Parts: sequence; C-alpha cells; structure tokens
Amino acid sequence: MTTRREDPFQYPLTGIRVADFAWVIAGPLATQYLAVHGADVIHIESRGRPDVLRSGEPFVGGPPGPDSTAYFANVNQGKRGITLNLRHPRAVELAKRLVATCDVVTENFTPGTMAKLGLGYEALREVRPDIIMISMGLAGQTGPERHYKGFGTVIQGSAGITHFVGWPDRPPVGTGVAYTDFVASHIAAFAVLSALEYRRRTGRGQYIDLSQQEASMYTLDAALLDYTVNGRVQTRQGNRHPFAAPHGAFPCLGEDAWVAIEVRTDAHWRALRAAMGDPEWAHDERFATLLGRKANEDELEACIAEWTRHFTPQEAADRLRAAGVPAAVVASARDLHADPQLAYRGHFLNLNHPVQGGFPYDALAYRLNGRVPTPPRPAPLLGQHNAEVYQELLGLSRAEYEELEAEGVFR
Amino acid sequence: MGDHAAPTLPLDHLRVLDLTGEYGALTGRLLAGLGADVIRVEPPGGHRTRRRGPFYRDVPHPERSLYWFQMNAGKRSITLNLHTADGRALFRRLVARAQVLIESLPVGELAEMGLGFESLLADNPRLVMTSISLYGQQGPYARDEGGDLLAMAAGGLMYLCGDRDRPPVRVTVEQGNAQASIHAAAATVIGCATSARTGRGVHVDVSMQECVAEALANNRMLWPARGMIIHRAGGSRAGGVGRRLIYPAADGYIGFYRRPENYLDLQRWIDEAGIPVGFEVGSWQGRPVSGPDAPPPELEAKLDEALERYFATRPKAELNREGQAHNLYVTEVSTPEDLVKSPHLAAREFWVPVEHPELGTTITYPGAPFKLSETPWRPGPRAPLIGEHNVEIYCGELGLSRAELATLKGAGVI
Repeated sequence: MTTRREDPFQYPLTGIRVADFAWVIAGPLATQYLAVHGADVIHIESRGRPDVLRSGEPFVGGPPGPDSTAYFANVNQGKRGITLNLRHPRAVELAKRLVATCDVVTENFTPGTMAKLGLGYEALREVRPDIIMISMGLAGQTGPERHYKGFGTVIQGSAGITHFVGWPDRPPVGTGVAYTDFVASHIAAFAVLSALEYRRRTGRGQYIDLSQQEASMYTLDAALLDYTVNGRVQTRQGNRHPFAAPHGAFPCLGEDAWVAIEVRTDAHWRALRAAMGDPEWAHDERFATLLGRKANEDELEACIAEWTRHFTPQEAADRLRAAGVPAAVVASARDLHADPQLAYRGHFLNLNHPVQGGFPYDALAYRLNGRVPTPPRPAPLLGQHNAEVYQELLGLSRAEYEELEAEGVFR
Repeated sequence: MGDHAAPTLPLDHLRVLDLTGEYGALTGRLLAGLGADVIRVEPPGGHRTRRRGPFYRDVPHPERSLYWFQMNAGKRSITLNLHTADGRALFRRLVARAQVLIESLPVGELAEMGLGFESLLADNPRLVMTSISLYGQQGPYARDEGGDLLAMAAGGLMYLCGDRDRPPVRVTVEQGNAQASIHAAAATVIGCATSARTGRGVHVDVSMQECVAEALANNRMLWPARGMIIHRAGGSRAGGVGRRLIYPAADGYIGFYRRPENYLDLQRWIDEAGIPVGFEVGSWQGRPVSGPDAPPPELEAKLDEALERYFATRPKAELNREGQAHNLYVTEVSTPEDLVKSPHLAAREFWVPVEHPELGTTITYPGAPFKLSETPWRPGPRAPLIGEHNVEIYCGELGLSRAELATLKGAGVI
C-alpha cells in the first residue's frame, strides 16, 4: 500500500520544492496550492520579523502569538517553516543553498529587495539554472508606481474593484476585506503551475512579474472594453443586474438577516409569485414583463421585502428553492458554518494543528475525482522545521547548525 | 496542436473544449493566453453569452458583445448541437482529441445527454474535465439554479459588503464568476499534472460558493474562534476594528489604510501639508488599534474629520503620490477611465491592441495578467465569430467532407 504522501492522486506535485519568501496573504496563498498537492513548500521568515500575518487574529489554542494565529494557519497549510535572518551575512549563502534544491522561488518584497540581498533572479539562476521565480508586487516590478505600498484592503481601489462596490447614489465602499489578495493569489498559482508545465516539457525556468493590480483587473468583466470602445465609464449598481429583476438582497426576520433572490426568467417570476402566495400586487401589469419590473424596480423590491421579512433567511431561501426560485441565504460567518452544502462538500478542514487543534480551515474550492484536496500537514509553527531543513536537506552538521544558530543566523 | 516538438508557450500542448457560460468563461481565456488551443463549442446560432452587453458602439449583435470579446479572445469556435445524436457523436470525437474539457452547464445536464465524465473516459481515458457550478456537482443544493449573486450571498462575501443602512451588496463586476474562473484555471493545470502522473482521467469539480468563501480574509474564522459575526461597515474595514478606508477627493475617491506603523509618517504629512488637525498623532506610532492602549477613539475621529476636509480639496492622483511619498498606504479608487489613462500601466505596456477586421478597427484590451520572461502572454487573436473554425476542425481535422458538413448544417447539428 502506498503511503498518503506517495499517492499521486492525492499528491501530484510530490518532488516539487518551493522556497517561499512571500508574506502576508497573496503570496502564501498562491504556494498553498502547491503544498496542498504535495509540493515541499518551505515558508521562510525570521524571528525578528515574522510574517505580518503571524500577528493576525483570531488566535486559537493559546494567547496571541505567532503559533496561535488561525489567519496565518489558514493560508499556509501543508508547508514547512524555517527562520532565517536575511540581514545576517551568512544567511544569504544558506538561502542560495536552499534555492539550489528548489524548483520555485516566490517573493513579494518591495521591488529590488531580493536583488539587494543578492537573491535576485540572475543570482538565483546561477545556483539553479532552471529556477522559476515569481515576484508578486502590488504594482509590479517596473513602472513609476512600483514602489507603492499597500494591502489588498486598499489595492482593490487601484485595481478598479472598489469603484464597483456600493450604490450608484453613494460613495464606493469596496469589499471590506483585503480582496485583491484573494484574486492575485489564485492567478499567481495558475502562473507558477503553468511555468512548471513549461519547464517539465523544455527544462527551462523563467521569471514571472505579477502585479496584484494588473492580475486583479481581470475580474472587471467588460468594463475596461466599454471604456476603450464606447468611452463609457461604468459604475457600481448596488445589487441591480442589467437583465434580471428582482435581483438583490431582501430583509428577513432576525438581526441583519437577508435572503438573496435572483429572478432571471419569466418562469422564475411566476414561481416567486406563487411562493409568496400569489399576492394581488404581484399581478399588477407593470410587473408582468422584465422591462416592466426593471422600470418599477424600487416598488417591486419594497413589495417583495414585505413578504420576506416574515421569515428567517433560511426559511425564505428554503421556500423559494422549493418553488424553483433561485435564492440563497446572505450568509454570515455563523451561517457558513451551518450551511448544509459546505458541510456536504467537507469544506472545513480539521488538520490537527499542534496549537490550534481541530480549528476549521478552508479547503480549496474544488474536488479532484470527488476527493477534498487535503494537505499533508497543518501550517508550520514559526521556525518549526529549522533542524530538519538545515541539517537533513542542506546537509549542515549538527555542530555547524548549532554554531550558526548561536550566531543568530536563524533568528 | 497536440504534441509540439519545440514548445513555445507553457500550455501549447493542451487542446481545451470550452462549454462554459458566465462562470468559467475566463478560465479558457487564461489557458489560451498561455498557449492552449481553446475551442468554444457553441450551439448553432451562437452561445447565449454573446447576448450580454455592453456592445461595440452600443449596437446589440452577437458579433459585437464586448463581454464576449473580453472572455473569449484567443479562442476558436465551432458550432455543435449536443441535443442531436450526430452532435454527440462528433463531440466524442472531439473529446478524444482534446486533453481538457471545461464546462459550466447546469449540473447533471451532460450526464443526462450521455456525456458525463465517466462516459467520456471511454473516448479519452486521460481526460481532465473541469466542471464549474454554483455549489459543486453533488450535495443538497447542487441542482439549484443561480449565478453570481447567489454565489456572493452563499459564499459569505456579500454579508461583508455595503453600507450599514442598506442591504448587503455584491460587486457589480461579477466576482463570483471571476473567482470561479480563476480557481478553475489553477485547478485545471493541477488536474493535468495529476493526469500526467497517473495516466488516468481527472474530474475537477469547482464550487463557486467555496471560491467566494475562501476570500473572506479572517472574517469567517472569527465565528468559530470567538463567536463573533462581522457585519458590513460601508467604506471601512470589516473585521475587529472598523478602520475607515475610503475618503472623498476633489475628483473622486481615495483609499487610505491607516495602521499602527504609520503615525510618524502621517504626522510628517500633516506638518508638511499644513493639515489643521490640532493635536499630535506621531506619538500614536505602534499603539494597538483597539483596547486600553489604543489612541483615544474621539481623537481618531477628529483626525478623520481633518483628513477628510483636506482630501476633499485635492485631486486623487496627487493624494496618491503624496501619501505614497510619505510611506502611507494611499491609493486611488480608480475608475475604468483612470486605469486606461494610468501612466503606470502605460509604462508597463499593459494595454495591447487587438485587431477586429470585421469591424474595421483595432480595440485596446487589457494585456497580460502577469509577465512571463520566456513565454509572452498571447493577447489575441480577437474572440471567434460564431462557428468560425467549423471547416478547419470538422473537415480539416475530423475528415468530414464539405457535403457532410452541409448535411449537418441543414439538420441543425452545426
């Protein structure tokens, strides 16, 4: 019997190794894909400056600290973790020794930082000629804004997304999360996986300059072409849809409780009418056609809200579903944990984390032949794998390791 | 395409059949950009997403949809009616010659036509089939109808977006669809790696709901950890502390994310620009954002008011430059126009021209989503016309005669 780690269906990327210098969310989440599928991803931090996300709440299983943060653990599943103080003169040599054993290097420092450390692409190619390196800057490695700083919370603005969240009569609000991190990461994973395919077929590595701004602009539908072709500046529309009505969130029983309804066809409209008990207002001529419903959408929404507010979101969604109306609970965090579909899919993973125990992490959003891609280990504690990486992988003797440790190279 | 002696692009060994709608359209676009031969299999008369606006010069027409242009550049197109026996037989022959099938038809529809994953393995035992659906292929909600709005609702992101005094909102440019497409692109390459290693077919089953649920930062986890539910907070950061993120500028809006490490730099900006705050904020450097050691909330609010008055008098591009020059996390809230006119994106040669000979014009498109040093992104050619490659593929590859093609056309198969 093969062990889990050798099972190619579970771990198709076994044999690939990644030096993961990238921090916070977008970079780590990109390489988490590889780790979940069996690549040996080594997340590199330092004790003096741990990954920013090590201080991100919530903290689970102990007082706030680098090993109790579930935020970090949720985006670094399956990796090993080492500490290396890149400011120490002997650290760069070790980093290069590590890279020499790797297939992929990731980083998202300010542009130029890796080169200044002696770890730029050209330098790393000397130790590993077929290396694939990806830099994941906020605005890319070139251009006048390449040094701009930020987080996904505000970069969603320069990616054009913030402008599209909110109501047409109000200022934009953005998504309220570090949203572009959760776009750029997946596109970066796609880029790296594709570069690995190219290397498998040609033996050649390459350098990837990914700008979080540019990658995230791929989520703007046709808004950019509408400007370059028609000169139109599209803007946010609340929940309105150009050819569906009603289409939005409606108030329900409970505190801040809502159900989403998406009526795209006449059949959906008839089903919604029936589900609401065929009220007289719904037979108004003005609501009989899509054009009529669009023209009278404020009133339509107010009427529907009078019905939805008698039910909890789950009750409303269940009734509408049963009647053939596309509808769903506007899920809060609590609702997600009670969602029967996510439960059925096994979305929440228990990875038996040494500090956080069975805390539920997010699984990847797909199944391969029905199986939940499950990483071989939980996220690493800070510096957890120092001894095995430096001694077993890089071949330091125990004495050398202890000497370097005493010198502060691994701090 | 098939096996190239000398690959020039990362995915030019892949032939992909594309049966997607709104969710998944971008998947094939990304694969095509890296060299995959992506063939749109459209119903005769054209795919329904060709009816999505906006349209070229606002004339609705299936060959003028800008949505179609954006999502399908770099692909080829054939027409095929899968609801006919001949259509299904031809489809199986196409599957045998492909490596990947991506689809987002209603769950179960392909299987009901006899074209489910298990069945297609008979034609291609190493097939990678990527199915994208609202909730996944199985489970209590799997057969529910719905699109982007429901994905944003059921995945939990909508709950975090919007003004507090109005309902939660989705994102007008459809993020559920985009997320699902992007996850599916990465997962499809994983599927290909798995197929290559095992010699077996792989069914990749992507759930839009789960794609959205992964994008909640730490907000979802605050519930199991602390029994805390985060609510939308308008232009502020959802989460433990509702730090304001969006401010009006003279000509639009900016984003400004203030963190504990920023107060010395912020004080410097306040001094240099002469912003009348009335008290020192440099001493707040490094203090936590909440709890007893946090700066006094009433003074934070006064700081906000002073900044707001100053920002409202200045153009957003200047505020962006000034803020960044002071090491502060300031960005423009860019409109599509701002992006198209951005000097930064121009310097990076982000925009690319794509020829549309039928329209007698060249259209400016967003270029590479990332820059690969050895294998440049393939931005075009322009999205295919309906059935543009029928002859090339049915006659050139599958060996049908022109007469057979005419028969199939007459019978509504092609």
